[in-house]
Amino acid sequence: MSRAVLSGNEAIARGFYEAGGKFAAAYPGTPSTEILENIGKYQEIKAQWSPNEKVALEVAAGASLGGVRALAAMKHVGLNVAADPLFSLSYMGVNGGLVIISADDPAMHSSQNEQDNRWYAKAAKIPMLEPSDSQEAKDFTVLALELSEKFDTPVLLRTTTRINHSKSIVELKRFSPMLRS
Amino acid sequence: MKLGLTFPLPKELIREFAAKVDKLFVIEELDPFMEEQILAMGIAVEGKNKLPVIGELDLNIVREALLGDSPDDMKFSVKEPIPARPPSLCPGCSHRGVFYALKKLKLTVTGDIGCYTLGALPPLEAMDTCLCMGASVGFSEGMEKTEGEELQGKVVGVIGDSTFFHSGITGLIDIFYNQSNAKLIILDNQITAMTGHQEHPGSGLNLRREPTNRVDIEKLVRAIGIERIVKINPYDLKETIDTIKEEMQVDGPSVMIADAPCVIRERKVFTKPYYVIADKCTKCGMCDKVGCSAIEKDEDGKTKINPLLCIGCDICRQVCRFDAIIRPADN
Amino acid sequence: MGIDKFLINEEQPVINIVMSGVGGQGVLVASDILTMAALNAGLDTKKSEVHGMAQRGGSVVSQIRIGEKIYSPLIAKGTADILIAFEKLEAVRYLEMLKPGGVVVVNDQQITPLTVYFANIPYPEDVEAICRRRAGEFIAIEGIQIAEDLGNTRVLNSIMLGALSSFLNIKKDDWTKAIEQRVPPKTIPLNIKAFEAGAKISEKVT
Ligand code: SF4
Ligand code: SF4
Repeated sequence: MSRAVLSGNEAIARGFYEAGGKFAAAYPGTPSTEILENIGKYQEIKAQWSPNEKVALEVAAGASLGGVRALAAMKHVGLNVAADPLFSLSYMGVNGGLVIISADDPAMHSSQNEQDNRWYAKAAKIPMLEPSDSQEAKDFTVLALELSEKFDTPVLLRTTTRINHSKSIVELKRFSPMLRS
Repeated sequence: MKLGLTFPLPKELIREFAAKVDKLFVIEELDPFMEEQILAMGIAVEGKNKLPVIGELDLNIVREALLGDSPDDMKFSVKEPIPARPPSLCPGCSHRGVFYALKKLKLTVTGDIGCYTLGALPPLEAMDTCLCMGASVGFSEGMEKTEGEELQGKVVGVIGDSTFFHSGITGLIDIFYNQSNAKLIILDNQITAMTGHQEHPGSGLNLRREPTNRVDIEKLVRAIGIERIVKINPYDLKETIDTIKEEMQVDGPSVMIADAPCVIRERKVFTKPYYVIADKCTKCGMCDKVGCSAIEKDEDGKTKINPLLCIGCDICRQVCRFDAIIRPADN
Repeated sequence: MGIDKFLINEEQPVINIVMSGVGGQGVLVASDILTMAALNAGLDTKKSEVHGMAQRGGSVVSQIRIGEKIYSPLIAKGTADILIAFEKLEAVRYLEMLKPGGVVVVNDQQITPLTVYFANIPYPEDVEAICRRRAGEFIAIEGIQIAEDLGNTRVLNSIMLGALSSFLNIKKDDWTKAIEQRVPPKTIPLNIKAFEAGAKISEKVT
């Protein structure tokens, strides 16, 4: 097992890779942008920019319906754009695990507003995990995919700028192919 | 206790923990999300009566909120005023010319989200609104339709290429469909610059920077039905000012596309650094108005150009009335 | 003479470092290398910074904590052991982070922000004197001059890291490895030279 200093965003990407994630989409938005950029480094994963967050969530949900583990990443206000599919996805459920990253920006380091996206979890009745460092960012991404499949629901992973852009030491595991029938 | 699952809350764990302590505080950033739910569980808890509901929390804020004070070591501050260092458009940025022109023309500018939002800051100060992704388009239409004579031909929307793909297209369809006279400038620098230069549908490359299909903004705008589409070279101030002025007068919608790549992305250097002939500089301050961080002052208050920063975009030379700013000859 | 190295031991389980500068000076790469060197040395480390506006000439700050076990990535005001600034004004701006008697290492360069002209707030005149009100040790580095002598102003960050290295108990090998891991391969020898040049200056005081 090796160790590396990773940002929260790099760790989320790594977690998605280690969990056998297959499809990821996003529209860039600080502080979430580097998640997809780093997922793009794993050739095993289809990773793409979407024109906006609504489309990103829809294609990721489509990939989940297709049976693979999928991820959509966005900043807090991006989830407003993707809120339409989000609420109904909560009814529809998933096939492959689906994790939606909401990167909030308290103090508005690079945003037009401050917004607490934990309310989305409550309003849409979707479970929410919140990591407190890069190790947890990686572990919770894996966990989110497992919970998603177990309870047949998308799972929100909420970070804040300090988690996305802070770096700390992470234990790396090998890529573990998804065990699903 | 630190929670990793915040919805649904692990109520049993919280109850167990609460039973073990005399007083329970919830320390959470932003809204009292957990606090209200824990209160609703019938557990006495404090939090937002002491902690702020806006901004980030840090050690100092939490310590002062809970303990009432912090040690003297933490209270030092520098007496002198410290000039802020806000970000600004990069030296040579292709957006600068357009904002300079908009300010000159005293237009009301509905803005949008991207590097170009920096055009709202002094000295350019040429953006009046910024709401959310794509709002520049709807705002300009709504204002143009309701503001009457006074604002006729005086409102223009400004949006970047990536933001246009994100949420501007539908607004532009509305302009055409509902027969608006709104005017829109698309700052097309062929990249999502603000967030660190990501590709987008108009850049011709995918996330891994491999070639892919490219959406042509001009064709897209034409396909909507908009007939007046003009291109702007934002490095030519006179042309930029004249074009915008002319388009503002036309009947019906007009889309102006400022077509110039992001200089950072392209690692573009136009020429060797420009320089100033100190004898000619009258300290009039005109060149300060373009807001380029390569423009500095010497001890006499005369302009000098920082050769490490200037990439020779020529904008400052065009505003100097005394020919003090010189384009280097040898290139 | 002067000040001892900061050892990580029972008395001082954590070292707090604040690194500041102007967007484009390489602060974030430097703080990456610092955390990687700490990892290579078998220590725990966390760092926090805010990206976004770093490229567009704004003020940039990175907080780095190194020790046996680190929880928060944030440093409380008045508790930084070392403030390392790539530009003079950015030393003054974050001076309140420094503990009384802490160390300030500053690149002796002035980059005047536009607000000095528009808002008429003067650039602080005697940065050293201001810093000395708080700091126990103040070291100015002619970073740009050294970088130019080495033939590339982009190695300023390695020079500053070298200057910092004299205060930390991290072996040269762990630094070198971190530099190799982080900078473009072609520039490794130059960056290591720059690191050594920086170390030479601060060595004198430790
Ligand atoms: S990154 Fe590009 S678009 Fe953004 S301010 Fe700099 S030059 Fe302009
Ligand atoms: S030519 Fe003038 S405006 Fe353009 S980068 Fe150089 S100093 Fe700035």
